[in-house]
Amino acid sequence: MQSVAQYGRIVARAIAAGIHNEFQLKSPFDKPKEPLHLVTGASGFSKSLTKSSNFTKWTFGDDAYFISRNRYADVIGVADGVGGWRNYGIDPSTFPRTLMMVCERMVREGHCLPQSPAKIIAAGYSEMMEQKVPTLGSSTACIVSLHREERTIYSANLGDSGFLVIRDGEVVHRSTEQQHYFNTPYQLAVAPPSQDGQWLSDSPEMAESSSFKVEDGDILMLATDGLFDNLSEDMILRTLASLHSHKEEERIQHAATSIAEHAYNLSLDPDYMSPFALSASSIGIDLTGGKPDDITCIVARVTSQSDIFM
Amino acid sequence: MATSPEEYSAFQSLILNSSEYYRQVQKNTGDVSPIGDCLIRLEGQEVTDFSSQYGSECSISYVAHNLAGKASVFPSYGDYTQACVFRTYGPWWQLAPSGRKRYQRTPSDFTSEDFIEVSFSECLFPVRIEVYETFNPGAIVRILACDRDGGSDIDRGKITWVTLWSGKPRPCRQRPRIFAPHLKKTDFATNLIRLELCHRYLDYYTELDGIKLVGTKTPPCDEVCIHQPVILDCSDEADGTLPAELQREIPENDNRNGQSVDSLVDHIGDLSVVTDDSSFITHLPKEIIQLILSYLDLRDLCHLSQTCSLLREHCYDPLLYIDLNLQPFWMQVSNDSLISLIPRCKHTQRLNLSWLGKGSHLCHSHIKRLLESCTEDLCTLELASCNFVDSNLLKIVIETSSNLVELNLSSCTKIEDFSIFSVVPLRKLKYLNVYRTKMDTTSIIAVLRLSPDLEHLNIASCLHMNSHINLILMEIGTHSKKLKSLDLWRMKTVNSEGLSHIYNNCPYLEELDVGWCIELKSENQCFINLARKCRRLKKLFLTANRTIRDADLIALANNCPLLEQLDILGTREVTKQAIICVLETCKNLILLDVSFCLGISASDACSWRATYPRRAIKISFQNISSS
Repeated sequence: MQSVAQYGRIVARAIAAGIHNEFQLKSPFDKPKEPLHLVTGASGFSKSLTKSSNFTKWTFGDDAYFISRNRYADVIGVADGVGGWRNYGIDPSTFPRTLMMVCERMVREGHCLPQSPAKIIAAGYSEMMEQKVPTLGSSTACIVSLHREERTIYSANLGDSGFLVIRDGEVVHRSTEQQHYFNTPYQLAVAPPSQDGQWLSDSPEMAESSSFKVEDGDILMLATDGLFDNLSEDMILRTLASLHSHKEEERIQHAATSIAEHAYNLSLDPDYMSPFALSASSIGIDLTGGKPDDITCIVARVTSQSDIFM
Repeated sequence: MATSPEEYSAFQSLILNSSEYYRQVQKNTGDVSPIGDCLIRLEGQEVTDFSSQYGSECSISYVAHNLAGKASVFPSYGDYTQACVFRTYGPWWQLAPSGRKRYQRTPSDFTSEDFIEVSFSECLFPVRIEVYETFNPGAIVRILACDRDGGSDIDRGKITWVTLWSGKPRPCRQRPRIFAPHLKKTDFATNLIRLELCHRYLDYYTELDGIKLVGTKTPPCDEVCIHQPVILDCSDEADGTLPAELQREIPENDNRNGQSVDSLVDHIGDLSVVTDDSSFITHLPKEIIQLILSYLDLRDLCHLSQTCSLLREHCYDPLLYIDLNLQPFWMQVSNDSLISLIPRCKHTQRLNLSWLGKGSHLCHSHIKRLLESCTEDLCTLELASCNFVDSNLLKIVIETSSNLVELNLSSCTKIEDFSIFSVVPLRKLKYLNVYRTKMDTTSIIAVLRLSPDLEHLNIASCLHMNSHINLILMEIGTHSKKLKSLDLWRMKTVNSEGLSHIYNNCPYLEELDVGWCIELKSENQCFINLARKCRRLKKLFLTANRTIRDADLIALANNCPLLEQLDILGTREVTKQAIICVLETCKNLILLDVSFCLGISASDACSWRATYPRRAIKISFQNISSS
């Protein structure tokens, strides 16, 4: 027969074990999760300051972007127009701008499933053909969609624009760049009829898709190559490090602006060894300095607060 | 349309001022068209049915479904993808070789050509209906509300439609507007509104951006209805002048069997007056009574037949029902009406049942009996937009009326199975319209093989035929040598090889619509060959074919002297010289659409209008201030 004290100890241990088990069971994964949404800020610079046309919403030079939401998802996208069309008398910003506007409308009106942004790109591209106004040009496309209930982001990328997901100061997910050869990304295109076949035109099916589970506090950054060619990942991480504890839109907008500014300043620096210069030298091209290009950057914080409006 | 730079500037200013007016109202009151406090305003939730649309079936651009949801274009004015656009406008389709003859005895107040039905999320007593018109306003001729619970149920499940407003189609000045006419007061709440449109007097496609239903949950008091703020004058009395090209005679409803009114009046003057109790009408010879009755439309005939037994006998004479057009009465036709018409249909040759089926459920057996009573005289049968026509009824129709010469099944989207065409040959068929149906390749090939006399074929927007359209064109080339008109609008996969089967084999072709057939490439010489081989072409629509070049237009000008209608919307490569060549050489040209052609500007169009006043030169736009 054991003493009361011993009994007490056994009971205490049993209770402790029981409570310990309870803790094991009640891990974060069993609590019902609140849906997440994106708080976004966007910024950018056009590479040509002397652009004379009226400031068009959601455009920076030949880059275009959109931010939209519907019942199920928050969706952001960028498109980088290929500048070579200028030599043929065609405004390279028309194609990406129209593409992004059409995609925005498709998302807002709920025509596409949030789980397949590749379909949004494909549908947007074919809707562009349905417009009476003939559009020519080409661009990359990258769309990221956060399914709020599922707490997952789905992405589709065609070309050299891309995105990063940053958690606790580290990149936990990134897109892959698609290039045919140096400085020639995969691109959606509509070529003039007489020059069909002479222009690089990739089909929307070539877009690479991915999905990733996100958490409250993750930072999502979607940008065109103007940003990634001028800022290394470390520099981006440093600028965005402080963001995960902030939820206000102004703070996020400020971060987007400061990243874009940083990239813009470096792009004009002739001595800086930008990522672009580094990758050029790795294939034997001798280059230094930043890469002047249109810069577009959307910073979004994944947040679980429900101050959302529909 | 403007023929000089000054007129064009005035045109621009009117549009810009109207847009600005609405923006100011919105800034001041927070709402583009403010309503009273006790009223609820709903935007359209879903478009449930429509007769035609400009856009593709799976697209979001220029489609009928854009009428529902937020009005995103207004108060801008122009040709935008987010608007609801219908397939046709103006008199052009009527004037084309495939245009249908109008039915005798159609009431002159029935002018509707298209319809669209919108449902709302709640039932309201309608006080006001606002239609946001963002391009070529003035098409709406009727607004109806559906009372799902009403009706005295002799036919079970009767649905009543009540006309809230109707008006004459008339030309309007071009500017953005909210069309909100004075509505009849109803005693029921509705969540389904139907708009009927007539595009006859419009300069170009009408585009509707949105529709809003303003009303109350409970029956409104009179003050609410009277004191509705009217934002913009909707009577448009000042807009009454027809555009020049429409002042030419448009085929009118012809009731008169070739006799003139004056000679008739003379005849009546010669009759002596009979002085006894019976009305002198009963003493008229039967032929004269029939002549008088030939001026009446169907509704009047029915009213007159209720007056006395003699007139009833006359009004029921089957020779008065050779043309029977029930489309204007789509709301009222029920199974009973069909049965009562049966004895009068012995000699019916043309039967129009389009739009029927919305008022009350129509039994297949009654339709069958109606068709059977028409016997072999029945040549023309129209079943456009009939939602009660399904695969079974199609079988019944084809089996009963295998002598049909003309069959219109446009927008009969409920038919799934067209295999009856493979089983029962329609040997006399000359006209077939299956626009926007699910007809498949096998069935249409069967029709082509079994109907050698086919002259008019409309397979526009038939998605199920898209994958084999070039095969179908080959069959047309093999079997339909007499083909006069072919409508391939939006059949995206038509290629040059397919087209070659047509122009190599159908020399009598007068009308070809290959709008939005983007696989056709001018560099394959297909258009030049078409012009050379089909010299009788009167109507050619090459809408949105970006490859059209000057050489194609010059070939057309040189080879097709009879050309009347040409649409080259959206081409980049055409220059002014080629257009002028066409305008000079094609003396019969009455319609030319050069919208969104990058080489052509609005001022070019203005000067051409001044030089060639009989030609309607259309140039659409999106942003008036920059064009």
